[in-house]
Amino acid sequence: MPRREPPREIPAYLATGGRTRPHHPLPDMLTRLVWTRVDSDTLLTPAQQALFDAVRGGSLTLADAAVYLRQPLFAIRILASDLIEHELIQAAPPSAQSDISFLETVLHGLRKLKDTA
Amino acid sequence: MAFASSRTPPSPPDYIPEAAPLLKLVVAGGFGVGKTTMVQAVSEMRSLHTEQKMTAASVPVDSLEHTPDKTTTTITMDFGRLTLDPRDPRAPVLYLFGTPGQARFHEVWKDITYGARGAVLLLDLRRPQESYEAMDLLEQSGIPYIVGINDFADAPYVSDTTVRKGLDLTATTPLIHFDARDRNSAIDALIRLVQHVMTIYRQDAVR
Repeated sequence: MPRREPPREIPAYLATGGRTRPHHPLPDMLTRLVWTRVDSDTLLTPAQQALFDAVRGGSLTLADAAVYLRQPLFAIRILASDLIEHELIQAAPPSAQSDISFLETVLHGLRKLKDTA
Repeated sequence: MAFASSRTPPSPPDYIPEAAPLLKLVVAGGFGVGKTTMVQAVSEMRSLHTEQKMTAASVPVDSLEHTPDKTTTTITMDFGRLTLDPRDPRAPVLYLFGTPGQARFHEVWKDITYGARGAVLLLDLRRPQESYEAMDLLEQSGIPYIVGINDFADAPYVSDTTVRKGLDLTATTPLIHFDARDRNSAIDALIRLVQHVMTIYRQDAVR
């Protein structure tokens, strides 16, 4: 698959305003960012706006957002934390899927994928 | 929006269905053992994140104190996504993360292993020691793992017993042979891993 055009390039330290720690710890990079359906009337920085725009289209994990916005994970965490504070997005950590039945579903799905490959 | 953007909008991000449960798995191993190959073989979509040369100006002051000679950092992320049933928005989506090759990416290791359910430790029998460090890091993280020997054509024959001894592998840790380039073979490795994780969860439930 060809590499997608990078949408934006803002140095990480400019994106975060020099901050290195988010208010909301978002340790799991599969945490999903979901739009709260509130439109922003707060003045966002370009980097915050870029993340907000991305999340407005659908739910994104921190990892996916980092790749899409070409920012390191720590910057995405800080930006996401900002938007959570503005109540523009919510963070949905991946549920603790440690139960056997979920893994059964995964196993079943993998076997089916193999058959169709 | 009242104001249309003057630039061409970038292609949209790769969204995931909101109802889909996510499962994080790790492909670990040393440099050149086939991590990227395996991620690529099984994923419908692969994301590569190699960038951010951090100059001294962007390094936070507090971390500079601990590493005064450090001027650049490269942050890399390499992962693939595998939707188990694209027609079903509730079907699990697997995230397969390749680990960085070198120890200096410990921060990335932490991020990658956080919340991961299992890992495949890749081994190249021509240079097995390449994966020792990754194995140590996996051990420290406590993630259940299996060892997958990536069968390179010119690899020497080494018996499983010898491999197990060399790695000091517990008898309960699965050791498999597979071809990281081959989709079915790589999926087999994932199947074996998920089975192993299930076994461990079952044992925990009994205890």
